[in-house]
Amino acid sequence: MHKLSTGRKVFLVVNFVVLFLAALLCILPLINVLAISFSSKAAASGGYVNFWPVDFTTASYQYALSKPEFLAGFLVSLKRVALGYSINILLAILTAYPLAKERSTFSYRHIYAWFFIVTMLFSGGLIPTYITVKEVGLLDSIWALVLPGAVPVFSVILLMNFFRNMPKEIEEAALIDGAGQWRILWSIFLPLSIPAIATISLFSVVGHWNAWFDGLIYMNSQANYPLQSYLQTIIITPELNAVSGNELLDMNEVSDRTFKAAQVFLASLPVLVIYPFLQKYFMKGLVMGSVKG
Amino acid sequence: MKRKVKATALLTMVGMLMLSACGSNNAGNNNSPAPVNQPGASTAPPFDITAKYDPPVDVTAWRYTESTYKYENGDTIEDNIYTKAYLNDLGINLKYTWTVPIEQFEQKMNVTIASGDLPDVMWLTNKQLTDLADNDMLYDLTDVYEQYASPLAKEILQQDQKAFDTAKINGSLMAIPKTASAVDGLQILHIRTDWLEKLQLPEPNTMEDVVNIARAFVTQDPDGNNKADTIGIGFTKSFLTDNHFGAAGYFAGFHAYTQKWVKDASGNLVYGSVQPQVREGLQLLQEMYKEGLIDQEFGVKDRAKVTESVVSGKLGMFYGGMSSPGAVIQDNATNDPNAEWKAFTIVSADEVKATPMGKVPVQLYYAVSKKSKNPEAIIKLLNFSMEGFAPDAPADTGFGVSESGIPVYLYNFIGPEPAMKNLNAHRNVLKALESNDPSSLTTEEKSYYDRIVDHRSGNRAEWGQDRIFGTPSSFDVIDQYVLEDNYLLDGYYGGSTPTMVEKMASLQQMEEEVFTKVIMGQSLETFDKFVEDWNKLGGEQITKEVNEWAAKQ
Amino acid sequence: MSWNKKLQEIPFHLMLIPGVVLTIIFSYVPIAGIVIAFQKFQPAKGIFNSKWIGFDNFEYMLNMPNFTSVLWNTVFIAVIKIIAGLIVPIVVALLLNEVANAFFKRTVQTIIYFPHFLSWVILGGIVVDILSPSSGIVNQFLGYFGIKPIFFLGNENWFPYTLVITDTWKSFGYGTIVYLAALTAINQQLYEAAVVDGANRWQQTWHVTLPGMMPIITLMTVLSLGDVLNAGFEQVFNLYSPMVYSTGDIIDTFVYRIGLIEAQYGVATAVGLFKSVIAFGLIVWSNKLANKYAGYRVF
Repeated sequence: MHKLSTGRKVFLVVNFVVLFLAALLCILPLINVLAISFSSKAAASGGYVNFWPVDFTTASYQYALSKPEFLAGFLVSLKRVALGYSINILLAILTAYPLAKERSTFSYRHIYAWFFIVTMLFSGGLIPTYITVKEVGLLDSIWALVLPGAVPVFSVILLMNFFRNMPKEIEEAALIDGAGQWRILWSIFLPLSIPAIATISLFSVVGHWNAWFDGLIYMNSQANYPLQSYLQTIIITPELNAVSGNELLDMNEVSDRTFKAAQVFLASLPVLVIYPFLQKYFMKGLVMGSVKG
Repeated sequence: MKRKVKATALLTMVGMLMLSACGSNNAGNNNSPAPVNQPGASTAPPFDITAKYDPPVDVTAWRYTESTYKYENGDTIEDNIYTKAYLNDLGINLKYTWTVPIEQFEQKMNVTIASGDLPDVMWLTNKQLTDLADNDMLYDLTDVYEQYASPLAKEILQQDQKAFDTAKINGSLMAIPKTASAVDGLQILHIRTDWLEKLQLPEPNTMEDVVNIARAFVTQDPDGNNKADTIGIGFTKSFLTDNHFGAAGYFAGFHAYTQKWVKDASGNLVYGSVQPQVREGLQLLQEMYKEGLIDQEFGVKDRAKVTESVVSGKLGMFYGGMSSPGAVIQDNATNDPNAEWKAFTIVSADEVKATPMGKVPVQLYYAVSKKSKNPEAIIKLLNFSMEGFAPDAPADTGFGVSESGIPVYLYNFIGPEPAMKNLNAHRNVLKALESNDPSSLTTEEKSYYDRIVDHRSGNRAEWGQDRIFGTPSSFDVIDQYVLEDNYLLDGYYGGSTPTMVEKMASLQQMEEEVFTKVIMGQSLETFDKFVEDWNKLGGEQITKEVNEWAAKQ
Repeated sequence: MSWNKKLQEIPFHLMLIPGVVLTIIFSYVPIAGIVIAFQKFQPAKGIFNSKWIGFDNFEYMLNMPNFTSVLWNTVFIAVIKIIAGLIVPIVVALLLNEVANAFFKRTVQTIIYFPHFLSWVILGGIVVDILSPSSGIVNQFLGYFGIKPIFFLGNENWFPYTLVITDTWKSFGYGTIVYLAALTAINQQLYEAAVVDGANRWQQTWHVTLPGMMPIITLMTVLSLGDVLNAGFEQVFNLYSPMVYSTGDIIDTFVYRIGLIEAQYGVATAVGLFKSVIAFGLIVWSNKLANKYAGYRVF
């Protein structure tokens, strides 16, 4: 057990302070938004709310939660995340593994790799994509939210790089033992790639949970809206109300500020709950001890 | 796929229903409970517009929804008192293909159109109306409207003939316009009267008065906290386009009409922002900014931020609109029991009275697809909707505002309003308040009446309503404008001309930049150069096109 | 190539089939719609009936009055964002790595991810307050050092940097996740070897950690170059104003204001295509560079 040098000690203290400040900087605005979500309209629109609710009220949350559409939307979102995540992770793994091989092992990898990368940069745009989804018959179906983005190319590339950096000996050892590629992937590579898988899992879950635009475009019936799409339908946009002339009715107990603040929390709560749980997987290191000879 | 089979089966069923409906209609059934005050059907054609379709006809539609829509008792936009009435009274089974929030309306509409799906009836913006009409995808409503629209409907829709005509393409009526009131959009000057009292200032009659008030608000500590933290007059960073905290009412005091088209001495239309009168207005703004009467940071503040200043009691004067007391000032009233505001007519910088300018207020059109099996259904819907506005219509029908105050009329598929609906509501409400007799008020008017009475018995949360519809109020001011016939309308109300499509946005960007910079101190020559540039970079061409359009009106 | 080799490669092809099929249907088929960029597109006419006008849309785009300055703004802002977006998360990941207390480490890691969830619509108001020259915290703080108030949001020269700093604040937590994952995947034995060689923590970081992260760092750099023409529409849209159009207007806000989205799909698609082509070119080029000089093949 070696003693820490003074330099090291100083560094650790400074490090602590720096990280603490960074965290503070990140959490204060969130506390502000949380406080606004529990404040009255009058207090929020006057800018009176700092870090504690003024005129505490749960009106904004009630406004969002009280309708049956909220629960319906919530269930749709759960379904979407479950389905979307499963597809994402499965395809990410299946796609990244072959692409991680050298050209000598898999001669076509370059072609496949660029095949996917092009789709990251080029897109037909909203109209052609909509028409495609429609022609395949997926309008108003949950598959419209889950299939178009089924291959998460960014995550694939990330995972592919992780796989590439696996020590070659592991694979060679397995091949010598007579294992097929499928076996190698599932039994060897995956368990050793937990941090990467955890990372792309987070991206997929957050992405699916937060998406709202596709829900509004591909779903015609409001009953099929995922939660965030539904929340968009009740958000108050004063500027646009002025245009359509309904400002006379714009006098609710819930202002756009308090509601948008509540919306942020309703949106991010589930993810924030999952995140610490996923964290322990980020921390798992590569345990070399499992590979012998 | 199962999905496709189901869809085809459904379509076949619907198709058969519609065919049979067409057949039976011609028999001239007249068994519907004729809606109140409906004039008798004309005798010659066998088709009876007042008859209900039997069996009911399916009519598909799309629309947008807004956050202001509220529901109770399990109502939804797809199933409420209106959809039920359509079915039971008119035999129309209105089915929404989709409904989206207004923010996504254009995109959803474009995407659906591009994929070739049009419902029977639809809500359209001006641009899409022109697009679809040009591509022959809409049903020409000229004849159907002429023959079947009720006199009441015609009277209401054509109260503002100019607005009505915007729905005509090449002389044919291609849609029913959603007419609304232009006077509702006239500018109003809102000032905090408790501050005026405290500082012993008179109500403003001239621009000079306004400047003096601003100066006093800044220097004489009206909020009494011994800090120089109050603002003289409020503007947002988008003061050229915003309604609340905008500068339109201000410039009108110099007889300048930014962003609008006005007639010059020879009767031609010219663009308001580049006229010489603007220069004077800008100069005064520059001086006010320099003196600190305008928030030094106004250039980065949006409406919500400036509203903060109002609500927290730091801002006591601004140019806004009819709805400002409710939309912007209400929270100030809630927070501060002593705060009082009043609406004033806009003031002038010289001896000539200031005239506010509104826009032709048709934002939405109701159109029918060319492939619709029952194109006249829209007229049925129209006639039905207009009944509530008949002079002797019963007040409480449940179609206006529900008992608990929910604005049910928003579910209406066809919602044009008489041009002076709100102004008349105000007048009626005042009469009722004076005589203590609300019996002749419509449901909507009664809801305003109730809320105002509530305010007068102490409920501060309804302060806004009183200041809009009661007295002193925004509508007092608008009433004055109307009675004195002291208002103008934007001279140009067509769609975008070709050069506008190409250049207008860049020109407007230039305009916003230049105006902001000049106010914040840049020399007025920057404005002069802007006028030159504006003309050179497309403005001249646009003016030409606008006048060509005017010649055809 | 021998028959045997082909057989050996079959599992790879099989694994790729689901992804390929879905990508063809939902990405490549719509890509055919890029033809809109060459049309005078009207939704009513649809893709097949809109008029073909060749490169007119592109000409129009290039001739728009402020196009050059808007393009420059976009690139300038995006590049600085990319640089900051690389440095800050890496540094934070390294710093976090040095923390012994697991609880503190986990907590900080969670908290710095929070700003990612706040939309710019909400943050806009907060930022205006914080950066206010008269009453904002930042300027008050600077005041203690005798620095005069800076109008961060209203000053054309400062605005791009304001954008970068606030955006980095919002997104560095996200990047840190990736780099932390990369860190934890580094072979522990390498550290043990370094310690045996007498390396202190700094040297370990320099010789083991950073090289170990290089593949991911290179990857993230190359990928973010693909974003060089996306300077962040939502952020700019909520924070900019006429005062800073000259340095703050980016391609996407410019296009938005021109209403191209609604009024002229053809031009909007042309702009999108323009951005894609440039991004693609950059990615290919940087990939080659990384391969040649650093030995890392990203793709």
